[in-house]
Amino acid sequence: MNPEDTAGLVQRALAGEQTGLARLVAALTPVIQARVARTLLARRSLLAGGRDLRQEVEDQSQEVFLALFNRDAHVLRSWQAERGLSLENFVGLVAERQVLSFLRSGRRNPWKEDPSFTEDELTTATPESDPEEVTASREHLSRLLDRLREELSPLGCRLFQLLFVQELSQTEVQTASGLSADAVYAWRSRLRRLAQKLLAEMSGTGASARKT
Amino acid sequence: MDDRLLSELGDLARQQHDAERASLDDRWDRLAAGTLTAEEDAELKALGESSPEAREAYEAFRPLGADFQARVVNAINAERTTEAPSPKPQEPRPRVLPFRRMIHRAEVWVGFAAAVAAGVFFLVRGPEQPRIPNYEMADLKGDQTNRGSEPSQQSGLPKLSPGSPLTLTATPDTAVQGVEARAFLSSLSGKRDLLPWTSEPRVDPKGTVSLEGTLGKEIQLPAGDWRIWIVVGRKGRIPSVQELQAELQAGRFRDADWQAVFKDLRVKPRASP
Repeated sequence: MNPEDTAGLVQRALAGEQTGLARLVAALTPVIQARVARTLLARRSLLAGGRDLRQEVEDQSQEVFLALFNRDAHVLRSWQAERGLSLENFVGLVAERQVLSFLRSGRRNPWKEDPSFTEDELTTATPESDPEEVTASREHLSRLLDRLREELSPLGCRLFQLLFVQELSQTEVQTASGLSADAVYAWRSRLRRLAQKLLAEMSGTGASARKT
Repeated sequence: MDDRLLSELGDLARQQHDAERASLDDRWDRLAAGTLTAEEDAELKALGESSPEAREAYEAFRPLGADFQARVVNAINAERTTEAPSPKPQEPRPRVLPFRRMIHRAEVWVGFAAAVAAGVFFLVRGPEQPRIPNYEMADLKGDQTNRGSEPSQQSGLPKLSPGSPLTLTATPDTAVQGVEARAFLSSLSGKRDLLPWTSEPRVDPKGTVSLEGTLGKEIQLPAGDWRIWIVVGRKGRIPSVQELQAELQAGRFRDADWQAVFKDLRVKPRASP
């Protein structure tokens, strides 16, 4: 889909137009299915034994659509094409988060709750542990990465990707995300505090962070 | 505090991505999208038979299909209704185009047999409009029915020859008035666009729709495998061919005002003299 068509289709679906909704669902189904399948297959051992993977892909894909549209479609409405994230990538991140949350907690829909830590939580409860003091095994780090992906909004995931996976420069991140230098700096800081917070939570040294 | 923890996480994310792409390359995404080439499809099918893990992956990426999409649209609408009890905005009516003016479209379409075969119908009702009754197509009788020797997806297709009588009947579960019907066809091979059909069905006073004639005379249909669609709807409410195609591709086979039913058949080439 080209970006203009995509934005128009999203608007039609959000307005309740049935044909627009049907077309949007048809366009996004393969994207969501593939991301759900990839996320599940990479963590197959976390899925209860005997569970039919095809059925789980179908169930989780439907949950992703519902997550996009529930509460007056507040998740889908948060998609902003000008932030450099295509709709396909945006829903892919939503799908990944949905599956990670399901695998960790069994919750079918993490979006019904506050999707991330508040600034206050991050600011007040973060222990000052140097990362080098923490000997995180690869498995531990892997779980931390999943938790980070689960906690972050699609925009937060995008910023993590640009800053720490692609390792782009500050200027490149600003260009790719459409954010100001201050906003990128704020995101870098927020990501750092969130990672620390989650690490502390997983190590049992931090306050229980989630309002589960 | 520096970003070493985040850098470690970024390294790990890269490694995971590379490992995942090594085991599940882009072809798997195209499998889900239904855009594999025949060669790629054969490769993945063969791979899927090589181990239980690969079979599971193939099943995970095999397209969810139109019936899934119909259920999703239904679920979204149900959730919207639950969240907002006040009436939602009315969908603008699709523009209705005169049937006869569109019969020269050249492309042919096939679609979504699984959803219809599974009997999955998506119901959307306007707040004040009673929906038309459910229609069912009567079995089609051809010259013969081929079984066994044909590919499985083709087995059982009624076969007709030029000169064969053909009767298609769609019957409502309760009598209804004020409906009209149109016929469309789509190829079961090659391009899959919906094509308005020149043959025009009749509607009797109880709402039963029939299309009757002799193949090659009143009913013109080239040799090949075809899906014949009968679309019944309130007068002036049957969607345009473009809208209808979009609806069917999305797995919606009826609305409050219309319903699409179909039968498949094979037309044999005219025998050489």
